Amino acid sequence: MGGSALTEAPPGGARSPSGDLGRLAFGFLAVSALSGLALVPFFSPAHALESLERLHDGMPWGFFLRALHAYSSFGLLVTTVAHLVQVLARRTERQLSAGAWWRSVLLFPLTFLALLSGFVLRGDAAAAEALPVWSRIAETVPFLGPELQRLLLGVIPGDVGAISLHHAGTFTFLLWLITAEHGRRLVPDARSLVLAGLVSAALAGAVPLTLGPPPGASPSGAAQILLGPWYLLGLQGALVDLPVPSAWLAPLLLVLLLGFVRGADGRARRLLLVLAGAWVAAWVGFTARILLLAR
Amino acid sequence: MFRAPALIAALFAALLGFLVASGRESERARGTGRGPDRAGARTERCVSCHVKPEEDPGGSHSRAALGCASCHLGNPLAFGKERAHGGLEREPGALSTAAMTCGREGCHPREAARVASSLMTRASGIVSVDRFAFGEIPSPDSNETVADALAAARPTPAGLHLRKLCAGCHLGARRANRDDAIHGNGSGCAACHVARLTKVDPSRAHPPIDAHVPNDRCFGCHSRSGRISLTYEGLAEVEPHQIGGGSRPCAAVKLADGRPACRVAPDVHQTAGMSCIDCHLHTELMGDGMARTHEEEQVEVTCEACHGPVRVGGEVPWSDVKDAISLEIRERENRREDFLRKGKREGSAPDAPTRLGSRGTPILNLLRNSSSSSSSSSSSFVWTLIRKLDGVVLPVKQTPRDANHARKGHERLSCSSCHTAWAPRCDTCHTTFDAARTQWDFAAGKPTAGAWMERSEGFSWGPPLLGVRSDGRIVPAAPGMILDIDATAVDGGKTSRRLLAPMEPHATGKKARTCESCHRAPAAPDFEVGTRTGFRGLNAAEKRRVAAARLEPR
Amino acid sequence: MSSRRDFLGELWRGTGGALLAASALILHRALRAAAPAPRETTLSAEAVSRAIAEGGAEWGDLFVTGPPSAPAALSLACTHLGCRVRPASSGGFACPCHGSRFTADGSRTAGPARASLSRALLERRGASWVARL
Ligand code: HEM
Ligand code: HEM
Ligand code: HEM
Ligand code: FES
Repeated sequence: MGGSALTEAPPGGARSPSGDLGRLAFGFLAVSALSGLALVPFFSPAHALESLERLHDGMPWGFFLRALHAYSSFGLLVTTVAHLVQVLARRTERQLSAGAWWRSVLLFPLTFLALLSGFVLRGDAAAAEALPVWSRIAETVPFLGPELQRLLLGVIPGDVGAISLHHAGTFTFLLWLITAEHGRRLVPDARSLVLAGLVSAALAGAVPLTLGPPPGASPSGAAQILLGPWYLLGLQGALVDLPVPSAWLAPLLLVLLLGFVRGADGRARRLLLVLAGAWVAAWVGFTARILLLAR
Repeated sequence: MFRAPALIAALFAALLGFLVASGRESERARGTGRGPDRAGARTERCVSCHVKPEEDPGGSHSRAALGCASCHLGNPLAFGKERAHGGLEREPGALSTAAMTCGREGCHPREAARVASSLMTRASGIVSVDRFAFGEIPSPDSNETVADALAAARPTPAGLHLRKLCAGCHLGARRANRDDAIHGNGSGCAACHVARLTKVDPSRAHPPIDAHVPNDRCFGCHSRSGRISLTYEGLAEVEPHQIGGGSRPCAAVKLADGRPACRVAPDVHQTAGMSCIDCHLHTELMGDGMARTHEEEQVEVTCEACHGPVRVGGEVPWSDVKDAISLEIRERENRREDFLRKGKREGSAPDAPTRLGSRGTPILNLLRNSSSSSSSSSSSFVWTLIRKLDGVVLPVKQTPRDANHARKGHERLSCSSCHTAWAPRCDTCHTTFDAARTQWDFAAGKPTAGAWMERSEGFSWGPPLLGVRSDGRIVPAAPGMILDIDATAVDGGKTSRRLLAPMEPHATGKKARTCESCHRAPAAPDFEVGTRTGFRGLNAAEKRRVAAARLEPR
Repeated sequence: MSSRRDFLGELWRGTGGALLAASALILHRALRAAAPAPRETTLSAEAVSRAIAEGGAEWGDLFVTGPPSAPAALSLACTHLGCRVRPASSGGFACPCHGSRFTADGSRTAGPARASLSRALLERRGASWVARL
């Protein structure tokens, strides 16, 4: 790349009909993948928590590396949502072929799967609670539930080996592949990468990431609500009131709503968007619900 | 989005973040231990900081083998102090966490399980007799534990009495919430197995952990109530006003918790250097998994188990012993050059005989060896006792088959009713509730309103009274609960109790008590009932027989 | 000519599809077979009597309770989504994930869980007890 890549106006640039946020999201994805790669030599699925502790407090700047990875992935989630809003606001859906659009919509659940699988890799007490929950949710998928569960979580109870391969391999690869397809570029442009890197670094430096105690290390205290990661609180809240299959039905519904937006016009499009908006409002509401319950 | 202002703002933010992070980084580097971080085959970051030699309990629980977290919990993977110390157990052995520490899988789960059933944990004898004395339950035999009593939402007067006075002595009590007589002991398992913390020790050395439990661990609790630890050492507690001005001469001493006492003759076993664990079996102390109410139900060892005549089935070859814990200890001690080795080696042969407590637990340190003469009669063997703490071998005298032990009319007497030289007597105790004062509350773990005040006209000591157990045996008894209870301030009544408690005073004398001490004693005072179902003082007919019996020349 | 090319194209596609289907089938069979073995937990007689003496105690992911004549084990896995339930200060158990509550004998009282905690009588086997849950 070199210096010239930074000064060159990015292709499309501000003139891009869909705005800048897609490119910025790609930048965050790349920072995630690069920082994830940097975590690889330090991480062991068999000693997940131990290896992360060693990295977090035992290696120079290890805590920063971890936080960089986490915040860039949060950045990816936030900018993807913003990017989608931008796309919908500017009505540029049809820039993509129908197939590419449907695949792009899948980037949403994929991003959540990447985030969630990363959370489970910590191997601390909170991560250990998350595992059975995801395993039971996968089991409620009709016909292929148990198979899906074993495919995603692996066949060794409590082991995160399979999940770590999905996290760094399957999900990352699919995210990149689909992004590259619909963004029509193999790698993000240099400016997006730099900006995403700076924002992630700023957050990583200022707000340290935590790491919990090992599972079962100390007496289980009085029962309260244990909050999951922030981006899944909506789901945690929803599961208090809704039946378990809603954990995969609701994302499926959102994918369908957004997927059909591209082919819809006028009132149909508006209806789909209102429904999608209601979906998001419900998510926010359920986030509030679980926060209130935990107090 | 990709213009200069955005870049400059982001650069600025990143710089700021970087500054904060570099502060954190230098702190991190300073707060990380440099020592090796393994204990046994596990990663234990604890030992990377805790490197001082005095921070090692040593022995089989050495830092090198177990690290710290096996007992102290916390987070053994964390590098920084704060996170490593999250969820720490500062009093390992405490029963609330014992299943995760001493009793964890692979260590001592069996023992931890038993201790939960031990009477020293449950203290249900204290609870039920107290309730009975207050007139709250009809019989002194209930299964209520001290934990139940402390958890009651609305304590009865006796419940309040337990909370304020008695409930500081049980194995579930943590250090900060105890009777002051046992402040230096560890908690739960550690109350016995860890050396006492003394305030004078400046190095705060990690106390060693072992199975050789000296008497000082027992003393705190057992110097209260029946006061057997005091009696055994030859100490008779008195009230401060009895020192000097009393009617009896008193070589005064002051106990560590401030109580005054007079020096009296110690138990002959104490004089022989024996400690509590030389007689008392693991099933009595740690429990055997069965919940019992009273102390004499928990105790297994008897005078006869060592001194004979042994009960039928009380002496068996080791190959018939069932108790798994004893078998394990014996095997271990046989391998090691330890106390069993210091006895004659024959005692450790597989078919060597052993003598058993009343429920079949062998007395490990009692060994039969051949005496120097080599005839084949049973008298060619001698029983010896090995002191567990120092390995000294003592001969164990067997009860002679003489006239004294075959005296007509004395068949029902227990050994200790004749061989006990003295027992403490507390025959005046006035207990009132003073609502205006505050007093420590073992349920709340802090002082709360209301205090039980105890006042006594003084203690005395002398040959014990005798009482009749439900099985007809005559045993020493203490007029232990001669008390007036005034619980009107807590909606209770006024009660006056004259209760008789069966007890082993632990004051075995060199000589048996004299015949006169029973047969010429003033008529024994009348007591209400005993503190156990079926236990009572001598009835009128028995008293008449004692008085009428002619004193034979000794 | 062109029909022959079409046919070859179909052949390629058909073979590919069959290959894919066969792989999916094989994967499916392998995943099906990987069901975890039924679990048995062995508890020592003493651990059981301690648990009963204490009014019930945790043992791994089980909770062992009385009566002494017929001890039983409750699974601590919440019947909603499997989080580990904890003893609640108000008695019984509470789940930290979505707030389900259970009584001391495992019956559900509140929250999204529908079923009671699974419960099994312990079976005597020699000197120990076995929980099959
Ligand atoms: C991981 C998440 C995503 C990333 C990293 C990403 C990235 C990108 C990039 C780099 C572009 C090209 C923008 C440009 O050159 O100006 C783009 C365009 C676009 N994206 Fe995304 N995107 C993501 C998710 C989505 C989702 C979920 C949708 C829709 C459901 C979507 C719809 C579109 C559309 C319609 C365009 C316009 C294509 C065009 O202008 O040619 N994207 N995205
Ligand atoms: C080459 C690709 C990647 C590799 C090798 C990788 C590796 C890792 C590793 C080893 C961890 C555990 C470290 C920790 O928790 O501190 C982790 C955590 C995580 N990863 Fe990745 N990752 C990759 C890509 C991604 C991507 C693309 C995303 C997001 C879309 C992502 C999101 C996360 C998240 C959210 C965590 C949890 C952080 C936390 O809360 O502790 N990772 N990743
Ligand atoms: C989505 C991406 C990928 C995933 C999820 C994935 C997953 C796995 C898994 C689970 C294994 C272990 C299989 C076993 O030992 O039974 C494995 C092994 C391996 N993978 Fe990957 N992989 C991915 C991509 C790649 C790529 C791109 C390459 C090379 C270009 C690669 C090369 C290998 C090799 C050489 C092995 C060792 C195979 C052996 O010797 O048995 N993988 N992979
Ligand atoms: S897992 Fe227990 S309430 Fe959801």
